[in-house]
Amino acid sequence: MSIFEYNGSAVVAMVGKNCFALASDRRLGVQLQTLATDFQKIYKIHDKLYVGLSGLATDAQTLYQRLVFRHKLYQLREERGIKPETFASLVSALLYEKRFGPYFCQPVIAGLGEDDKPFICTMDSIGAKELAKDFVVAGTASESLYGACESMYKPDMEPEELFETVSQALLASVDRDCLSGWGGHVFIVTPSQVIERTLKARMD
Amino acid sequence: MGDSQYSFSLTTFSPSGKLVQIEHALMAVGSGQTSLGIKAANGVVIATEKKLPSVLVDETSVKKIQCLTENIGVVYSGMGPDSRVLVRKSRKQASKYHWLYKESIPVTQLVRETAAVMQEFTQSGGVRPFGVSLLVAGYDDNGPQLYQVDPSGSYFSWKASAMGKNVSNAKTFLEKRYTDDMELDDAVHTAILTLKEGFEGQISGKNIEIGIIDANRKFRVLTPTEIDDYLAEVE
Amino acid sequence: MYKKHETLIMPFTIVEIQIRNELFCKATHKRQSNARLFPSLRRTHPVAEADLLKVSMECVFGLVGNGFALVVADTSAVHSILVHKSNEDKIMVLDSHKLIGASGESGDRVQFTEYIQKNVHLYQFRNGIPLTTAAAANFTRGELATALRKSPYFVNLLLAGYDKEIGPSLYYIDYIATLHKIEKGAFGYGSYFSLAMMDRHYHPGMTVDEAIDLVDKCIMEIRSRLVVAPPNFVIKIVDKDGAREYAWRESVKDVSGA
Repeated sequence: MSIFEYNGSAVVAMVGKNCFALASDRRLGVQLQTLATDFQKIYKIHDKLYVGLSGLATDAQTLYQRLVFRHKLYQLREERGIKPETFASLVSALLYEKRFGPYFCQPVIAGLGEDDKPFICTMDSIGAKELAKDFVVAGTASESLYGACESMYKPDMEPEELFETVSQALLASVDRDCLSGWGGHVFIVTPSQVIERTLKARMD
Repeated sequence: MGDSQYSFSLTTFSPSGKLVQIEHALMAVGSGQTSLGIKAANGVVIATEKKLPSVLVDETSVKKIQCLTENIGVVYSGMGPDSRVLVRKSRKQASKYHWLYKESIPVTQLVRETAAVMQEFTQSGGVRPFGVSLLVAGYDDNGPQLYQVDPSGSYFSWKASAMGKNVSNAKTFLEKRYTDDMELDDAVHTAILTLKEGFEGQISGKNIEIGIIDANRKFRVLTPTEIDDYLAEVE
Repeated sequence: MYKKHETLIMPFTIVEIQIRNELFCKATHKRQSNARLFPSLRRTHPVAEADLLKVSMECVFGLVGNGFALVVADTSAVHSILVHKSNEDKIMVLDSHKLIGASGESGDRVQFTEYIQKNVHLYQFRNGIPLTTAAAANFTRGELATALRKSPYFVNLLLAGYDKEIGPSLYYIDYIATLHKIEKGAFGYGSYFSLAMMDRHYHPGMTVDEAIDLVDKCIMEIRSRLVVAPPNFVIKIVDKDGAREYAWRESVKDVSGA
């Protein structure tokens, strides 16, 4: 079993019309044993920038702490919020720094950039960026997420429809993966508001 | 000389609360060749005189204005060799920033980093302050910008500034000529006129240097022929 | 990815060791490259060599009730097939209102929990106020996480505490430094039984009597269903009046007489 599958996770980001969705499951497990069903995998960087961290939970926590630290330094130094593209480069650099002893995480970065243009991207555990226009997935349920998103996604969805789509894709996918699920956590971010919802799901 | 007993360490305060080495460094700048910069509405110009010790020196080999990044240029007054150390460190800082964020460094950030280096050399052991002041010209998301950095590590943003031998005359001249809505071309003319004020001998494209940056965000040092064209317009 | 419709038997120990080897690949990098040249030098990381059966045989669990949190641990010191001691206290009183139940490599367990305890005390001496439970948990996680990629401690922790403004809380911290705030949690082979019992019988806002009743159910289940069940347990509790030992559940007297 890969170390990326030790705790189990499912993270997905989708682009809509002037908005994006970032969703994850809520399980924390140690292999097949479930420890908690209220584990946070999506973190806020600033009002229009979120990051989802899939993979080994301990590394996700360490990485998140480092990202918050670096972002706070950036904000103090430059007196502005970081752009999603720039933040992605920062994450990539931090990951590649540990090229020969990586954080076992696959991050998903989603944000609204200049002119509130949605930006989503994911990268592997050593920081190779993968940009997408439609959706990105990560975690133990990524294979089924690809399928679900591929068939449910359509361009330029409004926030509410986007929420429905991303939620259905997530729930459908985690039901085919033993290591993720046990509830969902969805963020819909638009230029003017952030909708945060938790999903009820199969609890087995 | 009460102060000079405190010169045993270059970075120790004198009883009057001064760091004499910084004052000496400012003297070095003050006796250096004149440089100036003007921030226009759509760009920035920096200029300096390039007086050479002998007519035998190949003037094309002397470059007093340099690029730090594609969109930031710098000129110095004072000791040439010291400036090269700062240019090297600044360029390294700029590329580090680019490596980290895949984005070019904002002017304020680079100026701060450079100033931090200069400050460090007023407080570290076994070193002396830099004998230069810098004028940094850049154009980024915050528009055109002009900064001056001094040997103490302090820095200021200017609409127009001068440094070196003819500081006070040049600054008075700039104060009279500067307007907020000045275009880059006007600024270049003003820069030339200001240099001309305190210039000993005949000014030409070979004994001054001019660097400009406009809204295309590419810093560029003018060639002697381009300078000559501007000179012709001024006369 | 493991599909729900597949029956799957996981080779527990082997998987564990593989994962650890991967985690510590950096620490062992030098040795592994030597091993390639000199096969006789081939060894795994000392922690990866740890006898997992022994470690997993331990039973530590805890839960949060109404105004209190409690931690239960077995009290057996086992090496290989030998029981050295059956009254080993694995729950440390961190400070006046904190408990830390630990399982894992016995040397690491003692060293690490003591290190944490001394640092928590140091903070209090320096600043005149104690760390909150959350702060202590995050500090502990930080220390484990930095150690993880240098010389890892092999300890799993349950940290229970009581704060005036917040009330009781319980934190799960495993040896790879995963931190999570929980209501109920467990480590070791005992967890398969105690977690199941708690899933069935736990409810928020339990009284002490109800909680102790549940603890006894868990202990009974472990004793009756786990081949290698430890005989004795200690129960400690923390509430507004402080952290203290609550009771022992002994089925044999200690053999060593210590």
